[in-house]
Amino acid sequence: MIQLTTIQEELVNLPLNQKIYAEGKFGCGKTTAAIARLSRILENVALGSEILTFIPNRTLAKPYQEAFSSRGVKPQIQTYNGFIQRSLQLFWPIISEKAGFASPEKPPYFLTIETAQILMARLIESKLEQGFFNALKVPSSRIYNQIMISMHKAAAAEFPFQDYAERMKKSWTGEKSLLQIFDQTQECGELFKKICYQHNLLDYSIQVEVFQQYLLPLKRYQKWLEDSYHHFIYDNVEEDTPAAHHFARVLLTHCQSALIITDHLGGFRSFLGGDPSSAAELKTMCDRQIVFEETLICSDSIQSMAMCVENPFIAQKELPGDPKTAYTFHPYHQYPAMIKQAAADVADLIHRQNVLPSDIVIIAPLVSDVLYTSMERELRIQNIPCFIYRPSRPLIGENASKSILTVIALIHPEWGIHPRLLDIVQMLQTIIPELDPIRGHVLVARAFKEIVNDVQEAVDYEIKPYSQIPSDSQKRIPASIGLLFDTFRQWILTNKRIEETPDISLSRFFHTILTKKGFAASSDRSEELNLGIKKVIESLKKFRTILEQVDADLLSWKDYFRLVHEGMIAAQYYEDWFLQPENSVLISLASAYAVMNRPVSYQIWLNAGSPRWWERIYGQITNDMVLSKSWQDGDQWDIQKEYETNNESMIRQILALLSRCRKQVRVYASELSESGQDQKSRLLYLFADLAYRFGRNKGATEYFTGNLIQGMTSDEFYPGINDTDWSFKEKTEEEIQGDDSNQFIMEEDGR
Amino acid sequence: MTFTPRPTQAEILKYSGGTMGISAVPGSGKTHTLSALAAKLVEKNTLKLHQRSELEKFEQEVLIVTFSNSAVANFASRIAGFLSENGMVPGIGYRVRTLHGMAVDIIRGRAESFGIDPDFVILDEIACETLLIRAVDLWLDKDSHSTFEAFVDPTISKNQKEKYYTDKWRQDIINISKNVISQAKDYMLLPEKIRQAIPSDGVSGSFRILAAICDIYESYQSMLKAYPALDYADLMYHAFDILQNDPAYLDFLQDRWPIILEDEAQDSSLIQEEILRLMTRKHVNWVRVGDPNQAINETFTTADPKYLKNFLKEAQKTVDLFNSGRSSVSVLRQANRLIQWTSQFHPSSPCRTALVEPYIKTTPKDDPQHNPPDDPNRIFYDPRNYEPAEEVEKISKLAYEHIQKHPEETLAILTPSNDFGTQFVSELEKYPVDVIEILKSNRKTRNTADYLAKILTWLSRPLNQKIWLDLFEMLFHHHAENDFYLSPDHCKIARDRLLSIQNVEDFLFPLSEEKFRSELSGWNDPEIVMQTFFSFRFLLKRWLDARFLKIDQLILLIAQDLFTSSDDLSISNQFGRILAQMVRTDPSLRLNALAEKLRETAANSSLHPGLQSKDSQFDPELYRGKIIVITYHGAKGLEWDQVFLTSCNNYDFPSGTLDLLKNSGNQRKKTARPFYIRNNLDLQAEALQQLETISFPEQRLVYIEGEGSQKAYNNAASERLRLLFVGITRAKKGLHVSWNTGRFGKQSEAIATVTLRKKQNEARS
Repeated sequence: MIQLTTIQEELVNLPLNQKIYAEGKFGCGKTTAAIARLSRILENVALGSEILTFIPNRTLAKPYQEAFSSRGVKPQIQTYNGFIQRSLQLFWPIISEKAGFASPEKPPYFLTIETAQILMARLIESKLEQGFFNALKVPSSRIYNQIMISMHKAAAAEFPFQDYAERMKKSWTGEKSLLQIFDQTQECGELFKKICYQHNLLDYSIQVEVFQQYLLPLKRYQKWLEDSYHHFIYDNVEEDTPAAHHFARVLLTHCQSALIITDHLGGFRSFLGGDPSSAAELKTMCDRQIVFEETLICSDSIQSMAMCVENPFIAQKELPGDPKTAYTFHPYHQYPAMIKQAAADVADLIHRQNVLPSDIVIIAPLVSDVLYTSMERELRIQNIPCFIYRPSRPLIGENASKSILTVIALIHPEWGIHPRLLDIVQMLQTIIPELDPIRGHVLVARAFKEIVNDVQEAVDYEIKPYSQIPSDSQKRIPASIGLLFDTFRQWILTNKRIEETPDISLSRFFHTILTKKGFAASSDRSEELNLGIKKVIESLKKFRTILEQVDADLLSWKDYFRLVHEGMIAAQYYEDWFLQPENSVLISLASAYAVMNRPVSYQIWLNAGSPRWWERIYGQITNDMVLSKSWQDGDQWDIQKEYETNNESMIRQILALLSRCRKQVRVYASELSESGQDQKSRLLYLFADLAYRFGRNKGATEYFTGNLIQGMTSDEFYPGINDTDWSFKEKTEEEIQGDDSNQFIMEEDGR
Repeated sequence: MTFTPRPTQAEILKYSGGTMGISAVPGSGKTHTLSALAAKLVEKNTLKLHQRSELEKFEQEVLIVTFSNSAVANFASRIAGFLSENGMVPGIGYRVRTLHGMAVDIIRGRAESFGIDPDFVILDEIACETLLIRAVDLWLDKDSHSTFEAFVDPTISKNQKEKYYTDKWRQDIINISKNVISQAKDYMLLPEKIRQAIPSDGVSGSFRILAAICDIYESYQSMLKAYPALDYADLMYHAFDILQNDPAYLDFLQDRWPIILEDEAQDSSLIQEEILRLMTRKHVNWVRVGDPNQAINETFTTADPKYLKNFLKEAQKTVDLFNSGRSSVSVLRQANRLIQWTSQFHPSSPCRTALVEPYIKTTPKDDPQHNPPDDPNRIFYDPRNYEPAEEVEKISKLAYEHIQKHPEETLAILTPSNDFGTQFVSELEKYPVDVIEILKSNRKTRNTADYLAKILTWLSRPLNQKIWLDLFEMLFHHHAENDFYLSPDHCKIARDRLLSIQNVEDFLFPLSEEKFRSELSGWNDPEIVMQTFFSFRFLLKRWLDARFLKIDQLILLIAQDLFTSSDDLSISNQFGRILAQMVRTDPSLRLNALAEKLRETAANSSLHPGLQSKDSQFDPELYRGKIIVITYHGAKGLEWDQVFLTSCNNYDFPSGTLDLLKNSGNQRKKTARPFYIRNNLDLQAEALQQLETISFPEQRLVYIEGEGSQKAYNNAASERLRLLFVGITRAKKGLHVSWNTGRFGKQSEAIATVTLRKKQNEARS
């Protein structure tokens, strides 16, 4: 049983018919108190099914799930989006016709961010050919994604997408020739919506619009809400959208009790439409406000550092501790040297200071492959496992999912994805863990032969069985691996160009091949592969569902694979970081860690010189601020606004990181970036500022003036400028050569 | 870092605001003075802001801009030194950038609002040239022979014409386009604007060559856009465009960088000058330092020393840094004589402005940097008419003998071209002396490339035993001087052992680790050899693991394993970036093909900014007793005790109009002036002249065919005089000047060196 603090106790024991607004920084015990209150509700007045718990994303569901499951109660933990999907499904027959869907009698199909992008790519293909978005110097995969996000944000901020272009254009202070991209975005978005309405397809923006306009106002629906839910808990409300807050207001009026929890330092999902200021408006609907002020996590020195960052003018005497001991700063010139030292320091913490690996997090503003691979390698040398968390990576960017996609490419050459031999080696190494890179190379080089099918315009591979590869090569590969390879080969041959959909094929592949002895899923280190397969199957399944709804000439599997290989942004399927092994160090994006409720004792901040600590997530057509609810008509997005926004979000992020740190932050910076370019960030200025305030002597010393030599004797002269007569007598060559004093005339010289 | 400034330097350190122009002679300590000034301003500003608690202005920076990456590193370390000494945080309160780096910062801050990806790709010259070649080929198809026919010398026979068309025309058009497009961007002219401005008789009439290049420019730009990427000239173009069109951003930057210090200002171009003018318009704190006499980049870039000269006239304060303690009195005498003779007596009057005052003055008596002791005998002009090979042989020998006699000295041979430098490098192989080559592609770059290429090749063909053994030898050869390296005997033992391993996987991934260990224990090879095997195995396994990464990431990882020096790492970073660009252009490239590309890139490293180790702060002092071979251009900013200036003939150092009139047949033929073109026209110069005419309509310039060629020739002759000046002022104690008769034996001694030689002889007699 957790011992609650006074303020937690107070919250838990407030009457069960009150609506409470609890606010405070991360780490003050708000969620713990909320769970205790939830238990009290369950014990006293309500069934589990009567309590609706909202969280902005699924990563935050875990503590609530545990609280429910310990009581054997069916949880009602939902995201806003998940909840409205369920509602739309339930009430579809009532609203579908009114909302304007072409086939109201058929069920709705919800698009994921992936399926929506694929459809968008297909629909605007001809527009791009016409020259749409030519003014933007960005890859087309980013354009699909940005159009989708702009629609999402309009819906999340509750303004009609028809107003999008006008709003963006009014705010624009950049290059005038770019104004057309906003009209183009709107045109593409509207085309997309039109097709969606024709096929009962609902992307996030349509889901929200239909829900807000047609379902939420329905008396019948409100009655259903009132009957179903009596208690409402909404955690991390600041990370959610104005549309979600709108719905929360409705629930607040219907429910007997409510608990709204907000984190003062939150607001990290503005790139997804999250809006802390709209969240704050919920306060007015609550009977009671409680402020959590005392951190249960941070040491006095970390708290002091946070206070200094928050208020640059704070006096030292107001601080509970010494901010200087809260952090160490390690500057380097070269990037690799920085990584090496950071890894060595992590090893020192673990091996010499007995810190648990899971009590350390390594944070960077951008986790590239080089950063991860070199850090992972440095830690591996020190015997320290690590776990990387990079949400929304493209499927093709992850080893496991890429390998699985290679398997699909091999059975479906007609879809036009031709894997390289190296990709096949990578795939075989992934599915047969015993296969090393060299034997993998031997096997692929001898067993795979490229064949071109002119009729289908496809490139395929002929695959020889193990027994038929040349005997010298066969000898190099153990028969046990040969056997596994033949099993794999046979499966590929049997399934070539199979009619069934690839998610089903893959599922069969997993169960009939991968779980067999010797294959990856049967080994004890199969988490990564299992997760990869889950991701790919889920992605394929979602696409298949849509494919079944639309005409064959509108979308095909080819479109799916093309977009995946172009590096399409992946949907977030599973919250990978729950899978982190216990004894490992977490490596995470700074922004991703700032929304995790997972404090540690030591934070390692890498690459403090990177401008990424400061810059917003890129996107001309998806500007968070302009597309937010609080944007005032007539305001302009100029450098001043951008600067203020960046500054504010960096400070917020820093404070959020600090609120998740118990003991110390270790900051590492290099003057040169990973690719050798000079770099400098606003974050460095923050540390310089701290250094001047708390660590340096402020006394000004004129170190130059003291050294000035004023009265130098003037005996300097200009050699050679008195040569006024330039009409000289020519000296003969003989004369020069006869000059003994010239050290460069060689005696043996024949001239 | 104690700094005792001279009175002129102290005058500069008094600066607290306004415009100040500084004309600095070679060796006058301008970098050190400017660094000290920057540090002083940073300290003053930071402390002021802190005292007033104006934290919102805390990010104000003194912006220092310069020309090359090496200068950036040099400035940064000096300023950091001054600041650390005084308890300040280095790296804060100032920003040192090349002009292009500054443009990147400007663009990045507002890229989004101007349709540019903030992580935009900057294409290096090879990739740009690939696009340009495609654009030229498209144009050639369309144009057929028509433009060629309009310009070809009518006296040339039909067969010859066809030969020139096939062999030369395409390459010449590529070169011309490259320079004209770059100049057009400098003038902020996009193809549409040029087309509109070309007089209506354009295509068939007098602006024909510009009209042709405009077509090429248009398709080149659309290829860049499709990429999407920017070339180097685009950086300046976009930076200027953004500043001009976003007043709020301009205002923001003006406050962020309230003081700008500019070094090497003689190398600024029009657009660079315009950008700096915009940025300093609000606070008007601008210090420009340069030496108009060292402006030697006009021919290759759009730089022009006239901007500095004009600034020196308009600045609120000017200071001449005329004292130089670098060279002996006799060396300085040569430099000053060259200035005086050029400005007063040069036979071609347009060249008389090539070199200007101030003259170089020695340092005062109690100056910490005395001029080296003078020995007039160490100045020698060799009057003999060598053939090129003879000159190479002779000078190599002299250089070797000098360094034998004075192993404590530094020495360099300066050549006008990379090719001529390569001849010296080959000749010097005869002598037991270390030769450091800083030419088009230097050995260091090639070695780094070779390391990486060998590894990529092996990763693509890991079963090939020969590649595997080569790789081992490369990594552990005693020349490699890595953590472990083997003596030749040990290397042989190791090689034999590795040869005995039948399959590489038995070594890297034995099926039974236990069996492998017991086998190893039976090898009885020397400890160091065994250590090397473990190290080799460890590295290979790691690289195999990483081979699925993207190429730039793979190269970075390998480099981090192989190299510790910042030079090597930085060169590897550049290679990674270049290869990633290639893969993006051609996704079918495999690792072995990339290995080849890597070697090609290394062989042409001068085309890639950042691939030269000189750019990572080449320090001549580290090469005592060795011979440096370097071009005149590459030598700028460096100094040696003994300098050999080679090839001082009227091809490499032409005298201007006079030569053209007297002896046009022997004149320097630049690639931009194809010899098969009628009326001795320099097509590039003509196109540039046309561009200038339409760029400045307010000047009411009238284009007259031939004037551009004439002007270009005078400019080239003037620039070469400055190049000679740069060459002379590299010498601290000794200077040896020689010349050759050129490839066809027709060249004569350069008029400037004839004059200096005669003057020297006369003085001596």
